[in-house]
Amino acid sequence: MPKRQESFWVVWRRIRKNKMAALGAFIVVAIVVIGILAPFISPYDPNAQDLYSSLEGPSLKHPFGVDLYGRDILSRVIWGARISLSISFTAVLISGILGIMLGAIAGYFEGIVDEIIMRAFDMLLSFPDILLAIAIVAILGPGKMNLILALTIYSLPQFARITRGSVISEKNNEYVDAARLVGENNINILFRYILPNCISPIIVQGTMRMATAILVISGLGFLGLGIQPPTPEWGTDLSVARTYLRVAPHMGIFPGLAIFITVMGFNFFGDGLNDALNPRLKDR
Amino acid sequence: MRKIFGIFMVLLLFVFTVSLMGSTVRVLIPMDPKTLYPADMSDNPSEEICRHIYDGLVEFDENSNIHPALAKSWELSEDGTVYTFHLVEGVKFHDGTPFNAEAVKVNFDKILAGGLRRSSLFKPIVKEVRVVDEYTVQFVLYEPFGPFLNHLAHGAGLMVSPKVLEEYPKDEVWKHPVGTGPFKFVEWIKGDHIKLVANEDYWKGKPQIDEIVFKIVPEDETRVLMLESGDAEVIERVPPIHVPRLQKSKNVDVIIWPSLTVRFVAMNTTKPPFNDKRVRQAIAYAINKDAICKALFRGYAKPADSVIAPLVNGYYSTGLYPYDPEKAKELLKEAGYPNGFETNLYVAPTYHDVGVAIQGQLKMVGIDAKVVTLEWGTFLDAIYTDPEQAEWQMFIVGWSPSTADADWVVRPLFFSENRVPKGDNHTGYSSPVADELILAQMHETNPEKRKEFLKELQQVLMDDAPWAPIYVQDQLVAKTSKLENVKVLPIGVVIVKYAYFK
Repeated sequence: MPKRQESFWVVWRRIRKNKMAALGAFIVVAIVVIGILAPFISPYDPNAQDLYSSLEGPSLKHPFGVDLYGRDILSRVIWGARISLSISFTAVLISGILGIMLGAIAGYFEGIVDEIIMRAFDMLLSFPDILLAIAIVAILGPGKMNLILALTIYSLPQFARITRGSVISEKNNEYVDAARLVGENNINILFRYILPNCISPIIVQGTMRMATAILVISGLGFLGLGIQPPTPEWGTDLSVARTYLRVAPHMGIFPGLAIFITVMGFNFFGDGLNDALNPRLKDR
Repeated sequence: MRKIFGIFMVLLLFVFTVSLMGSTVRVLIPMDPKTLYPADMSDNPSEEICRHIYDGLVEFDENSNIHPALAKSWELSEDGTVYTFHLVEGVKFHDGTPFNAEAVKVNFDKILAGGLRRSSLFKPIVKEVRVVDEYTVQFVLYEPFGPFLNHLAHGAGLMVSPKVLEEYPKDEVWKHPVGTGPFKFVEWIKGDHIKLVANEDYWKGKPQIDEIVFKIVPEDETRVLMLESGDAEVIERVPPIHVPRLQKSKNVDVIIWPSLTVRFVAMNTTKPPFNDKRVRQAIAYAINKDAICKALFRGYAKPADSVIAPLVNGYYSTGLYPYDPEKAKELLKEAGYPNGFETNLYVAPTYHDVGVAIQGQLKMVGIDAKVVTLEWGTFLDAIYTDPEQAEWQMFIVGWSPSTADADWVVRPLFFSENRVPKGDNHTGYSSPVADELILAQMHETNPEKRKEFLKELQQVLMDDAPWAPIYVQDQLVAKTSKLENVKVLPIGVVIVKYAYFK
């Protein structure tokens, strides 16, 4: 079993060399830290209203200004990071685990099992991107759990496809034959020998999926199908800002920037990881 | 000399073309009307257009007062059950049919036969309509009915040509809108526009504008932009946020006029915790109405202190409830909820912002209200469920009495027999005192005595607090400053029939 652990520093060096990837990594780390520390660094309670100061622009007291209800936008953007990240991370994690398992089984056994699993996912994939998530939330009703469920179903096929492809290309390697000769069973061969070698494209996929999930969360929030008020969520806040854009642009700019920067960060980081982990590009 | 002559000719030609183009007023409305048959309409766009095509026996002015229209005078019998109307003579419908007592009878017989959206305004009240002579008509009522003239002034009382009513079945009348009004119907392109042209032979004199086009533009922002770019003369439902900017413009005037719609939080009085009057009062004290008016409506709304709006006939200012969170907490403690409770607040998308603001205010007195936003259809299904079975505990909505009279609020919404699903009493409110006062005001034909009953009733309703009234929004209409005499009626209708260009 080839060891990949020592290559962490190799990967890290490659990422650092790639400016975009480094920027992405920095943004991701920063957003994660902000999300985790939200209760400590947010200057106000994100839900505390002050209707009499409604729509006031940025000031020393409120660097990002206040929204329609007089709530501090900076605090809402900070708490919004926590909400978006926790939901997208949970969803990506669940869909990752399930998708990897199903994809690996499909790729390793092929034949009828492969047909059943992959045709089912093809059905899911035939829905245009966000429409599937909208349909799921519209049927189940808005709410945090349903949102996680929708995002999980939405991301599952992608993980399964990537894993299946990698497993198929890995399983004809000699070390697999060797393992089989030693008398290892299928489960062990698949999960202990083959999967660890497929992990790089999956990690890249996971990072990219984080970006998509955050975008879908804000998209659903913007449509009123996502996180319900008063919970601070970037997309939901952005949709309230729509009506007031000409008079109070700050209400839309800051949540919008938060979505933009976060999604961009995850994409850059994902791209960078892809380059750094791709063996074919190793010596570039 | 030749040069001057040339300039003069060009000017003359210019004046000539301008006068040939005629004057068109383009009014931007947010949605398509549903019908143009007055007795079958229940939406504002329909009523607005109908009020330009048709006349009624009586009509509202911009303060909801009632004035003679096709009836020049009337009297009420001693026992309060027979109204005699004397009609204006020599009026003709757009199709040439003469307007007379018979025409009035044909119109009301169709309404009394039932099956029209507004039959409910007359069917339970009017026994029959009698033709006395060519220009005298009598309405015989089952019982004395205080707000009868308000019902007549309602859009449902607009007179349609009897020829149309007799020729077409009731679901096709809307295709042939023929009235006696100042404008004649030209075309209705569904979802796009309705075009009317001036009635040269109007009995009150020819209108000063030649044409009205009601154009349907659903997007608020687009309506504002179209007015500013000169693509419209009048726009409705201006978002409050744009008013200060539009007021600064030299080319635009904003008309700010009160509506009759009270927006309120309704509470389910049949189930805990809201079956306790003190809890309901606590909600009313906990809502900062003034702050909501200022923040969400930029000041173009007034805090409500009664279940009816100030321009509704019979309004009494109760002065209740001032914002007092301490008092709210005290009442909650008395009622056995010292730490508040969890509840829900149902809203349709229109009231989402108000819901979130109230959610925040209730939180301050310890009440945790979950805002449940539903699409209109689903929302209406939810609130038209028997209150004892209903999921909702509080909801926000508005009610506008289209007759501009208090009766059309208190009877459908608070009379115990009108409880949902039979009527519109969503909250399940039931009080013998209120019931008695509702019946008393309904049958009282002396306006002064009736006012007294209504005053007492409003005090009772505010004290029992099945509703916490929040605000009465102003109607915001903007027009080009070249156009004069555009009127806004409190019932939610813009009247451009008297308008003229400066």
